[in-house]
Amino acid sequence: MIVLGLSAHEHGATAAVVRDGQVIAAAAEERFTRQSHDPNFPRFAIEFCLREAGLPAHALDRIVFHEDPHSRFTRVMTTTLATGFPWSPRLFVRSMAEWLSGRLWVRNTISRRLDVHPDKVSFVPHHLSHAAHALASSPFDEAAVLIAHTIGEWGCSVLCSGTIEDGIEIDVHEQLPYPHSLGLVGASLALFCGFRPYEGVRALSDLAAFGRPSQLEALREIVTLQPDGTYRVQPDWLALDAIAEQPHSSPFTPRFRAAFGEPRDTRVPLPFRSSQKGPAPTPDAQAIRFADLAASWQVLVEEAVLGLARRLHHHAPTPRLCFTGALADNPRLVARLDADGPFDTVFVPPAVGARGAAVGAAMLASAPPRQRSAQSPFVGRAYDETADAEMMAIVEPRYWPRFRLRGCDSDPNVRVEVRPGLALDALVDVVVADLAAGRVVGWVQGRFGLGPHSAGHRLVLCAPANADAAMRLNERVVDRPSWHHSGLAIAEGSAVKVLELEGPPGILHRWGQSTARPRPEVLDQVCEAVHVDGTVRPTVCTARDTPRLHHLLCAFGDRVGLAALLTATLREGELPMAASPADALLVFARTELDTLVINNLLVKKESP
Amino acid sequence: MVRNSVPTWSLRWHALDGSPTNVRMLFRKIAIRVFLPVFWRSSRRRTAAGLQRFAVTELDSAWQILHVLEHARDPVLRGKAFQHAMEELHHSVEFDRVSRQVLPELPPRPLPEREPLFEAECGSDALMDFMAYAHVGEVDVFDQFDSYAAGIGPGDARKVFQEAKADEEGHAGLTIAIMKGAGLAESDIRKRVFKVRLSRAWGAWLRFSKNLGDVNLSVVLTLLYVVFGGLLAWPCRWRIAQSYALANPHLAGV
Repeated sequence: MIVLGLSAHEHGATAAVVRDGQVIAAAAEERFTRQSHDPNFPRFAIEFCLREAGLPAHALDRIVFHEDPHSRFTRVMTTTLATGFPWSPRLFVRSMAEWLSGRLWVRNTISRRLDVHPDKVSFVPHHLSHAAHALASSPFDEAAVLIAHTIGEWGCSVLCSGTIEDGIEIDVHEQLPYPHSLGLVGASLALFCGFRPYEGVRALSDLAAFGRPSQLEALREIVTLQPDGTYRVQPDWLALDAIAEQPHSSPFTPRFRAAFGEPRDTRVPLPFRSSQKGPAPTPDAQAIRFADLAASWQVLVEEAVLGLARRLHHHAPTPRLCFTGALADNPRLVARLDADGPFDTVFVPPAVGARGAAVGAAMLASAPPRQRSAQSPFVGRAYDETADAEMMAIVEPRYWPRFRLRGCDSDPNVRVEVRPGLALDALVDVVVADLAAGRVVGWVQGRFGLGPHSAGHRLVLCAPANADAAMRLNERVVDRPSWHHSGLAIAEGSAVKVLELEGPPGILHRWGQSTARPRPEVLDQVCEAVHVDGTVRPTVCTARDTPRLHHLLCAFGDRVGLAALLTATLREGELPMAASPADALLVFARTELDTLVINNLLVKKESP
Repeated sequence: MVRNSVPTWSLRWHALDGSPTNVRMLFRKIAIRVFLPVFWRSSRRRTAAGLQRFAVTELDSAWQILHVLEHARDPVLRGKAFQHAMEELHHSVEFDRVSRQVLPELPPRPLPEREPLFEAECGSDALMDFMAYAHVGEVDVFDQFDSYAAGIGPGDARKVFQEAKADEEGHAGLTIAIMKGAGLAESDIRKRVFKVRLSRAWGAWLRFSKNLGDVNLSVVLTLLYVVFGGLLAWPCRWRIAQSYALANPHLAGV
C-alpha cells in the first residue's frame, strides 16, 4: 500500500510517501522554497515525493492529512469566543477568515491540486499522527508514547501507548486539553525572550544554562503542578488562544507584564558566550533577567514532563518510552527525562513537530514497517553536483565581497579552488588538513534529513578545540550568537572515550536529541562544544548511518587524537537549512565558510 | 527583483510612443515621493512592514532565479544566475535587517506560497519568458527604489534602497543581454514584455478582487461576532471548562 502523508498550515508543511510501512521519501516544503517553516501547501515536497516513488498522484492508495480540520476548527472557534469575547473581534475575524478561506476545505484542496478523488483523502487525529511517527521510527515493537506539543485538535499533552504488530495500534490513556499546553506557554516565553515562538524551544533551553531559576515560583503560578503528575495552565496570565492561532501576536496580558516586565528588545544582543576559553562577558541586569526566566522555565518544564512520564508509566508500565512533540526539541529536558524518568530507555525521533506528524499519518494508514530498527531520517532529496562544479569553475568571486553577510571578511582578492570528482580518501585528506588548520568546512552529502537539525548530511564543521574557528562558525557562517550550544559529532568508536556513558551510546545520542557530560580528560580537546552547564550535545555517527561523515571523523581522530568535530546545521541566519548544492554554495559565497564539500566536489577559498 | 514591478529599457520605448505605462509610472513615482514620507514616517510599524515586504519580494526573486538555476545546464548562464540570486538574497537580508532596526518586535516576514515563473517542462521558450518577466520586474523596482530612497529619509534603509537600485540596473541589463544572446529579435522581446505586462495587470486585478473579497468576509465575520458572539460565548466557556472530562470520558470522576 502506498500512502502520501501531508501536513500543512502548521510551522513546517511536509509531505511523505510511505510504501508498506517504509518511508520512501519525506521532505519539508521549506527545503524547496527557502522559507523557514513554510506552512503553505507542500506542492514542491509532494512533487519530490512522487518523483522519488516513481508514481503519479492518482496511483496513490490513500492520502492522509495529519489532523482533523473540522475538529480543530471547532476548537479554534470555541476558544476565541470563550476566552476573548467581547474584546477580541480582530483575533476572531482573522482566525475565522483563515479557516473559512482555505484550511477548513483541505480535503477539496488536496483533491483539486493532486487531481485525485476526494474519497481518497482522509484525516488522522493530530496526536495519533505524532504517536505513530514516534513509535514507527523507533526500534520498539511496543512502548509508551508521551506527546508534549503546543496544540492539536484539542489535546496539548497526550499520554498513550502503542504496539506494532499487524498494524500500529495506539491506546490513548489521557489527554490534557486546551488551555493546558506546556508548548504554548513555552512558545510565549520564547517570544518574550526575543526568539521565534515555535522554533525558540531549543534557544530557550540553551539560554537557560546561563541563568538561575530565580523566577520559578512566579512561573509556578502560570503552570501549577498537580500531585497526580499532571499540571494545569492558568489561563489569565497569557492569551494562549492568540499565540495558538496567530503565533506572532503578543500573548502577554497586563498581569504577565506586571510580574515579568517587558519583552526583550532584540536589537540588544544577549552578552553571553558558550566558549569556556577567554574572559567571559559580563551580562547586564536585563540579560540576566531573561536568562533567569529561561532557567526557571527549564526547571518547571522538566518537573512537568517528569510528572507526566510517571503518570504515563502508571498507565502503561513498560520500560520503553517514545517522547515527541515540540517540547522534545529540548535536549536538556530529554536528558533529564532519560536520567530521572521511570522508563529504562527513551527514544526521541529526529523530526518532532508537524514534519514527523506527516510521516506518522502515512505510517498509520500504511502497513507497519517490516524491519524494526530506528529509521534513518535521511529521506530527503539527493543532488548531483556536476553542473555546480562546472559553474563554480567560471564564477567570479571578486564580485562576492559586497554581498557578504555583515561582519564577514570581505577580501576582494580571494580565489576559489574547485576540485570536482575527488575520491573519498583524497577528499577526506584535504578536509582533515583544513579542519586541523582551523578552517570552517561545509559538509553536504547525499539526501537531506527530515528534521529541523541536519544530523549529518548538511553540516558546518570545525575543530572542537579551536575557539576562533568556533566563533567564526557561529557568528560568521551560521549567523547566530556564540551562546548557542553547538553539536558535537563523534565517531561511534570514540563515544565512550569522549562521553561519560555507562555503556555503549544509545539511540538517544544518535541524532543529537539529548545532552551528555564529556569526560574530564578530553575537556580541552572538545572545549568549544561544551556549554556553560558542562554538557555537550553529541551525535554519535556510525558507519551505517552516515558512512562518509564517520570516515571523516575517524581520519580527523587519527590526525589529532580524538574523532570528534564541532557541528552546526548548514544554513545562514534565519534561512532554512541548505538543501541543494546552490543553497550551500550561496552560504559559501556569502559567509566565512572556508571550504565546502558537496558529495565529491571540493570548493575552497584561497587568499593570495 | 522579479515581481511587482517597468524597464528603463522599455520605458525608453514607451517614452517615445507615449504609452500609458509611462504615465502610470510617473503617477506612481509622484505618489511615492509625496505620500511615502507622510505614511512611513508617521508610523514605525508601517515603515518596518513596508521594508519587510521588500525583503519578501527580494527573497522570492532569489528563489525564482535559483529555481531557474536548478534546471539550466549552460554553466555561463548558471554562473550569472548564481551571482544574481546572491545579490537578491543579500537585498532581502538587508531589507529584513533594517526593518528590524525600525521595529524589533515586528512579526516575522509573511510566507507567501511560491509560484514559479519558470516551468522547466516548457523548455527554452519558458526561460525567455522568465527573462522578460524578470526584466520588467527589475526595471520597475529600479525606478521605484529611487523614489523610496528619497521618501524614507536618511539612514540605513535609504542606503539599502540606493545599493539595491544600483544592482537592479545591472540585472535589467543582464536579462536583456541573455534574451539577445539567445537570438531573440527586438520585436520578439517587445512582444514578450508586453505579454508580461498584460499578465501582471491581470494578476493585480485578481489580487484586488481577492482583497475586496477578504474585506467583505471580514465585515460579515465582525457582524456575526457582534450579533451572535454573546449567545455562543457561554456554551463555549462551558465547553472549555469541560474539556478535560470530554477528552477523557474513561477517566471521568477519577
